[in-house]
Amino acid sequence: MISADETVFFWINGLAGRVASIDDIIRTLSCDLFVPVVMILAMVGLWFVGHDREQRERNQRAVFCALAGMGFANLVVYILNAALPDRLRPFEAFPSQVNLVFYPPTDPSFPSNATAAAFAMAIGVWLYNRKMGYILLVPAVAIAFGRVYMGVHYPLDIVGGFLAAIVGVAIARLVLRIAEPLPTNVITLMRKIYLA
Amino acid sequence: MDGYIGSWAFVAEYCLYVFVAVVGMLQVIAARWELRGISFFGNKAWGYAFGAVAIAAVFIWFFRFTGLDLAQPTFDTPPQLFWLAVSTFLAVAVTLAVSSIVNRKLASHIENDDEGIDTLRRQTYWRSISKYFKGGER
Repeated sequence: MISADETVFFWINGLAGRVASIDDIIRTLSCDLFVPVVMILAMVGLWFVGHDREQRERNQRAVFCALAGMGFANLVVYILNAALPDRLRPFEAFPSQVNLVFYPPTDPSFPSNATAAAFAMAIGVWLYNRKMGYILLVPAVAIAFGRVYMGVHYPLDIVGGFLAAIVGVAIARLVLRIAEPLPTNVITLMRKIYLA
Repeated sequence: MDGYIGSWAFVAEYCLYVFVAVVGMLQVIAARWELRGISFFGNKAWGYAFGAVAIAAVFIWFFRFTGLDLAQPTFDTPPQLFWLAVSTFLAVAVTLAVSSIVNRKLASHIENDDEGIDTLRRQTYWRSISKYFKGGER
């Protein structure tokens, strides 16, 4: 499995370093400064929109689930990093063979934290709003592909990040359910002051 | 983190980038959902245009015309989330304040079933919240 992982990695990473402008676009789309802002714009949008009160409240619960899911997904990644032996990044394991077109991160390779956060937000929204969830999968997939393309993650790290996202969102949903009526009260309070 | 990344200049540019993008997003939302009370413009087309141009321009500016080098490490996650949250809340607050000033002559008329954000279809945030604090009258 590790061998297949490395084979797929080199196939994707082999595309990097050929056309500088493509490297530049992928580096921008999958960096830490692009996708989080796209996600926050989506959260702001979701919070304020809806054809009626019920739909808007559903969107607002999606925002809660996405943000909490992202937090729990990061926690899952943190725990896995602490529990598992560090997996070297591709550019560390194969320094002369990898096309590194990004800065070299120093944390363990498995699982991908950025992927976990992006997918957690997309999945968290998808549970409440299918259309918006599918739209948010686009930047999540972009960051997942980009991290492999740029030489900082193996495909299995991405799969691990995706699974961490699913676990994180499941925990978030459970916590939000247990925390009721707190989420409902927050939305009600925000509605009273015309912000929900 | 050293040099440009991690400097206050970088933090300021990042906050401006998020701030303008969120303000632009709110204007698109105001135009699409007819939230006249938080729009900067009386005309929906201007709202769409302003929002789209603001978002596109600030993304291009931040990634192409600042000292940003994506081959270097950027923010750690905690400060990034902090500044992202601060800029977003500031953008919402400034949008509510500016739209309340721009639309100060907007008629204070609301339907009986209006509540929450729906109230902002017909009156400004300032008018809504000041009525609320004056004794529950909308």
